[in-house]
This record gives sequence, C-alpha cells and structure tokens, in this order.
Amino acid sequence: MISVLLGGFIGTFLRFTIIERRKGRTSIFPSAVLFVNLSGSLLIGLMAGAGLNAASMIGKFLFTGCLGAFTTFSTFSVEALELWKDGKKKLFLFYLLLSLVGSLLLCFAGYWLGHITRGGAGI
Amino acid sequence: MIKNSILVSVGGGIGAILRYGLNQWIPYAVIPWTTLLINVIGSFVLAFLTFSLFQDTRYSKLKLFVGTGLCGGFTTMSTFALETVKLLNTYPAAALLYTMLTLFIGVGMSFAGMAAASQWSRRREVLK
Repeated sequence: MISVLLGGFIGTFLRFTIIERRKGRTSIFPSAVLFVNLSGSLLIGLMAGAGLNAASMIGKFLFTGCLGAFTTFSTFSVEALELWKDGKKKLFLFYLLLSLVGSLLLCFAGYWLGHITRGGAGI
Repeated sequence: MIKNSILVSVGGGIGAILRYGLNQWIPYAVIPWTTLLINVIGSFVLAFLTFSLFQDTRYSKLKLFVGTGLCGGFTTMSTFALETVKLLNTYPAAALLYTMLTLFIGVGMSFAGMAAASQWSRRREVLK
C-alpha cells in the first residue's frame, strides 16, 4: 500500500513537472502527454522483460505506483477529444494512433530488450 | 508552484492506491477488465469535469488535485501496454480485442463525459 502511494506520488510529480515545462511553447500537438506515455511504456516493458516481479514490493512501487501514475489514459483521451472538438480531425486520429500503437510498440521493444539483457533468447 | 505540484502529486498517489485496490478486489481474467474499467471511468470523469466545473477558474486547485492528479494517476497507459504485450504471447486475439476496447470505449467515454457536461450545464442555466 505505502509503496503504491509513494510511487504514485513520485510518478505524478514527474508527469506534472514535464507537462508544466512544455507549457507556453507553441505546439499543435499535446506532445508532453505523448512523451510521458511513450517513455513510461518503454520503461515498464524494459523492467518487466528484465524479470522484475510485479507482485514484489519494488514491483508495486515501480509498476503500479511510479509508472502507473506517470503515464495516463484519461488526460490522453480528453486531449484527443479537444483536438476533435477544435475540428482537427486528422490530428485527432494521428494522436490516437501514435499514442496507442507507439506505447504498445515501445513496450514490446522494451520487453524484448530487457529479456535479451537478462540472457533470454528473444521472447 | 511548489504547492501546486504537491497538490497534484497527492492526488496522483491516491489515484494509484484506488487503481491498486480495484485490481486486488476484481479477480484477474484473460482480458484485464480492471484496467479497462479504470481507464473508462477515469476518461468519463475527467471529460465531464473538464467541460463543466474546470471551465471555471475558481476551481483551478480542484482541477489540479482531481483532474491532473487523481484522474491522471488513477488511469494508466503503461499498465495497459504491458498487459497487451503479455497477452500477445498467449492470446493474440485477446490482445487485439483488449486494445480495440480500450481505444473505442476509453476515448468514447470521454465524448460521453463531454456530452453529459453540456447537459448538466444547460440544466444549471435553467435553474438560475
């Protein structure tokens, strides 16, 4: 419980810091949340591939807490919705696909890399 | 600035605990329904609040705590990605279904949240 709470606190703090830093820069795209989700998915893949047990205390801290709260789905879907609302339909689709497919591909690549590093022969 | 980041982070910590609790409470199935449910609920709630209360600058602290913190920390992209990658190994069809459900219901619920918010705002206007 405490490890999840502490991890969630740290993960959210990092996400907020990254988003705040991007603020004010002109961008046609919610790139801060995209960056957070892509990098978080890569990291969780790497750690899981390297054999970190999700049920252990460190696993709960890093997976459920830090990375679970660092990445976000609700902010992603509301930002996509705002693109749609502003009439940027193509950008909306692009953002949706890039976020979802990108997260999956990076997580997969991370998992594979982590597995190789551990000495496994691929997946 | 420091105060805001603490506010957001505490919200995120609570969101993570809620997600953890739900995961403990709902038994694990082939398709990770719990994470799907979490992302669907979080998207609806955040969209509803974004297009209702959060439009008012008086609620800027609440927006940070509940929106960026709680909803942001409750929902997750990384767990979704890892669950899908793991499913891909054992049940590729389930992995595809899980991704599609997350995409359509998750994003769809944010549209539903916005629609509910405009209904709610209209009712408030009538009552005034």
